[in-house]
Amino acid sequence: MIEVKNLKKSFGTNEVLKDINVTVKPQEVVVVIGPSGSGKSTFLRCINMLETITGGHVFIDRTDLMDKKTDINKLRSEVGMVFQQFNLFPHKKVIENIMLAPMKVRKLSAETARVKGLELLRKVGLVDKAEAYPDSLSGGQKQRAAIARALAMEPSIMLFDEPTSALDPEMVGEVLEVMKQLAREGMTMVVVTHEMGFAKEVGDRVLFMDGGLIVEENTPKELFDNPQEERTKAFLSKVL
Amino acid sequence: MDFRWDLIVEYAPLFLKGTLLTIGLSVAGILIGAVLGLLIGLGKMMRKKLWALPFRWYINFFRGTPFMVQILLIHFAVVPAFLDTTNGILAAILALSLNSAAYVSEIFRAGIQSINRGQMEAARSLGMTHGQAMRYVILPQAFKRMIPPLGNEFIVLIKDSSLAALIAVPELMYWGRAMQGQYMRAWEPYLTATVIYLVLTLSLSSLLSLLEKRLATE
Amino acid sequence: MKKLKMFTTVLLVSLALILSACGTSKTSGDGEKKTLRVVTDAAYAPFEYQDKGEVVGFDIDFVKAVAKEAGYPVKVENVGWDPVFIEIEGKTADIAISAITITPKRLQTYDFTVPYFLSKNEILVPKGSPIKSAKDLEGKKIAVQNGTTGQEAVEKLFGENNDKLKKFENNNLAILELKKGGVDAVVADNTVVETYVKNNPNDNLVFIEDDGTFEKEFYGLLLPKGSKLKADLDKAVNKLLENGTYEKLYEKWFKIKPDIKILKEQQ
Repeated sequence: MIEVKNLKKSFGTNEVLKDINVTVKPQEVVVVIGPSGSGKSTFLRCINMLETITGGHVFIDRTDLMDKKTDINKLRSEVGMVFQQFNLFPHKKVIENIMLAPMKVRKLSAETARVKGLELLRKVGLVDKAEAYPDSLSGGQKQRAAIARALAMEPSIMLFDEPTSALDPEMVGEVLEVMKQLAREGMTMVVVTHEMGFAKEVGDRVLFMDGGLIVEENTPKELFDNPQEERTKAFLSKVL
Repeated sequence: MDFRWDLIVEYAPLFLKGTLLTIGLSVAGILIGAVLGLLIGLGKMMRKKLWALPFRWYINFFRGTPFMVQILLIHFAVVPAFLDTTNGILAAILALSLNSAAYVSEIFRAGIQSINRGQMEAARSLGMTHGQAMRYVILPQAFKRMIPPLGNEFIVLIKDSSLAALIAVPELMYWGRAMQGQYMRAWEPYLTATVIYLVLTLSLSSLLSLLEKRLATE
Repeated sequence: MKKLKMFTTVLLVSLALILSACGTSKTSGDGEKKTLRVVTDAAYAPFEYQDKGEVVGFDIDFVKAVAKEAGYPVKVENVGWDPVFIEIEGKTADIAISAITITPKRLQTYDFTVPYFLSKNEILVPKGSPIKSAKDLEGKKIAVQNGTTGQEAVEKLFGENNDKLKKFENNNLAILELKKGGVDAVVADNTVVETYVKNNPNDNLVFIEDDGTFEKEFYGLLLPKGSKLKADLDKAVNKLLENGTYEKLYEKWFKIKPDIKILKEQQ
């Protein structure tokens, strides 16, 4: 599904990703953890080309992102992304946020897009907020709306970039619940998070990143209970 | 002080004609300036520095020289070079639009760049092209933020249009000066012009704040 | 703190610049006569214009000679045509000299000295123009300087504020409009028109006299209504007319002899 080979990314002289090699299988939930500045968000953003890649290759469904002939826009529409800061469109109502891309990119009619949008809002428990503007929602509601917006494009992969980091603690649960449901439905997911509980419960595999490298990867149980690397141990001792 | 109301009454039809022309010049200047300003603003934001250079210099030129010089240059040199005759109204509209385009382009640029980067990223991550993201996500938001500075610019434009009197375009200020020249009086013509300009600019201000309120979400 | 100091310095320097530009002419000692402020619109060669930033011309030489005769120091300042009248009406200036025609209308608001100059309007047209007299101006586009007798003469013929009349800030712009094809003719004072034709032969412009239509005009020094200077200045003007100074200045600027008799007859 996703294949990352020798991925490198630098901002100027600052090498953020040194040599990343990862494969994500269909329906797999991969959780990326690590200290801040370890490159985990950059790694995620490289997967749908929000960052230009300095070196190496990323394949989505065997299509090379680095290939000049690849239609990045089409590829991106297959990969949903959820941001830490939600990035809802503040000038549009919740339902319009969800309808916009299906109408403009997939060329759906307004009615079809609306029916589908309401269905997704029902799924994330926000159907009563369809006509509200994002500014009137709580953080948890915003993030659930953002997830519905990404799902509206019917992506085969969902990327989550610290989706609960900007939330008040009491709202984290409702967002994680939606994500768990997605995982149960068989969505392929890559999740950058600090929620170790979520990683343990939902993750098929956990990657521990530090200093622009994947230091260790394993099943959640193995990685959390029996870390092999010193850096992993040091990190886990701080967060668990 | 004796105030000659009769002179104002005598000149009222001319002031009315002048006011209409002032409104016409301003509206034309605002509309053409806004469209041109958007294009120049987008031009200046082009990533290739060399391509952005002409737009940068356009803005430098029109912001860096007095409007009075621009209108004289356009009326007596640029327009005759093309038409072989002068045309005051055309020159005034040209000068006003070209000048305001420079300011408007900077307002557009600032408005667009003030929108959080995350908005563009979210739109692109949904598969929208850069153009679609601009059109449906960035510009509508940026436009709302541009209204107050645009309002300022348009008020400046209305006031600048008075310099068209210099090239004998019969707008509001022209008739004020004509009246002053005929009767050699200062208060009546200039105070009348002042009041009319004030009415025009205040109307524009309230129109814009109305628009701002209507566009407010929540 | 440093920023504040910087700001204050800049403020002081700019104030100093403004003040130095204003000049210092306030020497109102008891024995000395005060410096008269003379205003003009220096866009009317050869009467008054700027030569490398200095205001010069026939009027300027003349007003200096008159003031000297009357015993006053003067300071001449270029303020523009309309402000000339505003300053005199508001008594912020003592004398205006700017080829200003004595008219009954102006006499309602201002005082004039005795006339010092004869003038009449003439028509400036391109060579080969069908316009041969004032009558031919009918239906033609005409440029004038706003507020001049040239404007009055045209409006008398074809109606006030008619559509074909373009009023400009000064005659230079009016003539420029003619040269660029925006109008068919300019109506202005004889000296302005003739000097222009003489100095710019390549522009292919010619002047047309029409003494039957355009009345003779006389220029005077413009004074505030009820000015106490009038008696002194009248005496000085007459002295210059009589002692040959006027003639000398006239010849210097216009290369022809003045008709002093007609000026004296007007008094």
